[in-house]
Amino acid sequence: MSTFTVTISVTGTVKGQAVSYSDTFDVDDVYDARQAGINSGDALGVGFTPEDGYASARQACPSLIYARNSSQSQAGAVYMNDNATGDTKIMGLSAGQFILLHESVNGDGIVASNATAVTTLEEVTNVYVDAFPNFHGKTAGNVLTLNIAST
Amino acid sequence: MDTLNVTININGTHDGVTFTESGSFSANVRAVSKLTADVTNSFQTISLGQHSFVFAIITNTGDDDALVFFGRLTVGVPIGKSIVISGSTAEDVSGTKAYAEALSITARSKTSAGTRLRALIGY
Repeated sequence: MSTFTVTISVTGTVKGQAVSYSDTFDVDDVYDARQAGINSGDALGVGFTPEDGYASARQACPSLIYARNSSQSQAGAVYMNDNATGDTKIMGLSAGQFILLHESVNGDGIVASNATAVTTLEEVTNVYVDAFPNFHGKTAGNVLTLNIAST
Repeated sequence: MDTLNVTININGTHDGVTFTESGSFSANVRAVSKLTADVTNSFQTISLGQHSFVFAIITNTGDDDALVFFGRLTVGVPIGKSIVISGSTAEDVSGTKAYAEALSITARSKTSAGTRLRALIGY
């Protein structure tokens, strides 16, 4: 088992006021980690395998997903298959943007599509990249994904 | 428009392989808002008006998991962890993609235990 350390910070000035925000925390008991660069010029999800960069998780649901659009000009999106519903959750990222998502401590998943008083998070079983649906064309940026599975 | 710099670093060694990931982007924002949710099982919403958020850093400093609602998605925020969300959201249901900007971000504790979230949202 290993430990990963995450540091996040925001700095700058908005409307003349300095903004400074930071957080550092550990992801403990990591027993599986994947790191993949995925170049998405391909059709939605087709053809991605573990050998060519399809970041699949060894366990049912990764405990951490970090994805960054490493393109300097193209928008892209991270697609996450919802194991419970079969639907796909999509995060559109402009060039350079990234997301960091975690499975809940209770181990019941990462994402959901509703916002009701009773919301069940669901497992994400596959992660891949493609163009964001609101953008023209199919050319998406390179997106690096890092999956960390922890217990 | 002002500019904020958002950075992240992830470091660790697993099975003899060192993982180092870093990311950084500069976001043009009109304003930033701070959201806190510290009342049991409550909702707290920040309305972004007609401006979708650019990014949000949300940290769970409480003792129970929490949920954040934005756009088409809901994501969890585990105890002691931070999430980073940026861009826009969509959902693909049976091959039909539905797109939604996040015009508000809502935080809620996941169960009845106390949850404290702090968030910085640029929009």
